[in-house]
Amino acid sequence: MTRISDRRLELRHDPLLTEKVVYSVGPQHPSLPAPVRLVVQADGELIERVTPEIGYLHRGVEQLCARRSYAQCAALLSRCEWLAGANADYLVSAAVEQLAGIEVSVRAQWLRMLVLELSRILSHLFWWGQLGLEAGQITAVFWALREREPGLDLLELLSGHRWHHGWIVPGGVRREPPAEFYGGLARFSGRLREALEHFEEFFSDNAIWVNRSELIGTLNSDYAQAHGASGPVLRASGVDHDLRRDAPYLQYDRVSFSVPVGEYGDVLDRYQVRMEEMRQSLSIIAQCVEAIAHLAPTTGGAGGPARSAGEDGGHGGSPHQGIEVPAGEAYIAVEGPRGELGLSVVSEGGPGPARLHLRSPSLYHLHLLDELCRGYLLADLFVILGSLDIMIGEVDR
Amino acid sequence: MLNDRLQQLVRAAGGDALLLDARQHRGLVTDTSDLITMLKNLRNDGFTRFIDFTAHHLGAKPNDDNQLAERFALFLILRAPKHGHAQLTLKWNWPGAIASGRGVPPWRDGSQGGTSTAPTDDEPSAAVDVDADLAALGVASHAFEKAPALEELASGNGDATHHEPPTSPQTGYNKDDGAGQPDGEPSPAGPVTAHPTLSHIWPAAGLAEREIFEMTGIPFAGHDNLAPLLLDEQFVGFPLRRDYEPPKRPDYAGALLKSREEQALLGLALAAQRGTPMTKLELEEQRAQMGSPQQDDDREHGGSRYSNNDNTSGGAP
Repeated sequence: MTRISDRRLELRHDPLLTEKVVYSVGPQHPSLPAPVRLVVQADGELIERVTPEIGYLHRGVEQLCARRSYAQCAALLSRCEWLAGANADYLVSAAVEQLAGIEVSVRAQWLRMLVLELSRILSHLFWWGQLGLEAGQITAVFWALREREPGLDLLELLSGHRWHHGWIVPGGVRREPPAEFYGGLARFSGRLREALEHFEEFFSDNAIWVNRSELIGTLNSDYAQAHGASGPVLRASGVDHDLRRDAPYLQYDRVSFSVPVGEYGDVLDRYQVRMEEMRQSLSIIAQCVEAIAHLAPTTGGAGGPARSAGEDGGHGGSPHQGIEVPAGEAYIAVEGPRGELGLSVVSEGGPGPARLHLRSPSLYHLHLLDELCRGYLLADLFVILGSLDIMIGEVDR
Repeated sequence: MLNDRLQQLVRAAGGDALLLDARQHRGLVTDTSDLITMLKNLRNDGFTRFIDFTAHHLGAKPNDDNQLAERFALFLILRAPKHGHAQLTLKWNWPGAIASGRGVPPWRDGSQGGTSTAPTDDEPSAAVDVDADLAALGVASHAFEKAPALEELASGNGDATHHEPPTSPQTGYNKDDGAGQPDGEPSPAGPVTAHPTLSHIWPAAGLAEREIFEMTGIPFAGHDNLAPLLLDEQFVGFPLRRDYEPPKRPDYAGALLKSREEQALLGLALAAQRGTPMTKLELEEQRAQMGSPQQDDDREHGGSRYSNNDNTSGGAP
């Protein structure tokens, strides 16, 4: 066995197929985030091929959405990417606003940005904890979830819900954050800034982690682009692209932040890119808070479109029940925690979409596994999978 | 020429989102080879990042030949890293003919087809005629039947044996079936016209095409594996077509009584005294004793709490 460029080992030519084993990993496996089956073909300890088999969590969300109102679609879609459900709320709201020509107040845009960045941090924290589990560092998951908890409390303070907020609605946000929100946010940010230093100390100088991640699961930038990679996975492979900077939405063109880019596209790079992204998100949140402080609160709290009488379908309280959206097509993309989360909406008029399609970054990332794992050891499989941050809910939809 | 015109359009958009609508630029793409040429040019122009490919079913309409055609709108979203990751959304319509048994692909109905050697050209032919469709469907059915098995994975690429889709009359699949139809009424004809695959231009498109095929039934000619991606292998129908009706759930609430009159009739007051609802068995015994004429029908077809057409007088208690 000879080494190629990185730590990838050359597969041996074996026409007689001796010692080839096909493992079926999953659909239920302690190291898998949610039901998915990986068919792994190995030559001894070397992985030769990985074929993901998906659909165990398929709920037919797109089919369900074709018969439901936009408010219901947002609720369904936020359950596709449950670690950062605010992104789905934003996508549906932005699509409705684009189709119906609704202007969103600047203050509401800053508030949305704040919550999207907070969601990114919480999602990345969960990812880091899980990565620790995959790499045999069980401490990570306790540390990560401990820091994540105050963040969830903040979102609960804001919207009443920890995970699926429904706080971002067409036309704005549901209501003003309560006064104690900003104090809690400042405490959370300060604490997390220190904690991130701890996390990095714990991982960066740790021979176990570095040995398991450096030059493991390398992804070439051309291959990544051709195969649909996006977000931190793409950036770790050296492609300097971030929708927040390159196609700014909300008020992202008015904040300053840097886009971390990796060099080798290995597990270590993907880890470092995400850790740096959390720091950048904290900086964006600080800028949001400052901008919000200088803007007067919108009247009526949410600033959403007025509800027409008797059209709320008895659901009460939801400002966008019964909204009539004109016919048209829209593609809205957001730089989610996992990459480009996109929503194609076809409206034929009425309170709900005729067709809605979620562009899920994890679907493409999961199918990179075959390229990423080839020539590495079986023990690397879960570290590589963990570094991709797959969300099965959005893969299967 | 196509290339120049597109380049102008993309430049004119200044890197912003650009929607090329087939209705607005009807002359731009006239047939499938033009489409593929255009897309290849776009890729060579810098649109190397595939983002998404999705289909929207527009419904069935009679076409010029008076045959019912399923119509789809296809959306392709690309980005060009070279041009500041500019986003391009392309939309085109994809018509097709359709079998009378809509929603059920003919090769899933269990009838056996013979084998033939359908061509698997990387370059789909320009003309969309019936023979091309058959060839494409041959590939599709082959891919469908051969989901990656473990032994195939171990032996590298599987061999290519193509199964021609069944052309039995009862499926209405064969185009000749339409010949006997009276004029003036759209005739059931062949299946949806195969679309040339984009997976040799952007490898990631292969995944999206698998999803489009299983959800809407557009087969992709030249695609090497159209096995179901998200749905179960046994699943019948195309869920993202307009006329798709989800199967009714079993009536789990069937053991409970549905109307107050029925409750009174069957003496549920006794059960209420007891404090628990009647079991299904008890209910059947009661009904048998009373000789209720509508016992089974009523229970199975109406009043399910999941059913959309609620035709019962009252809800479940």
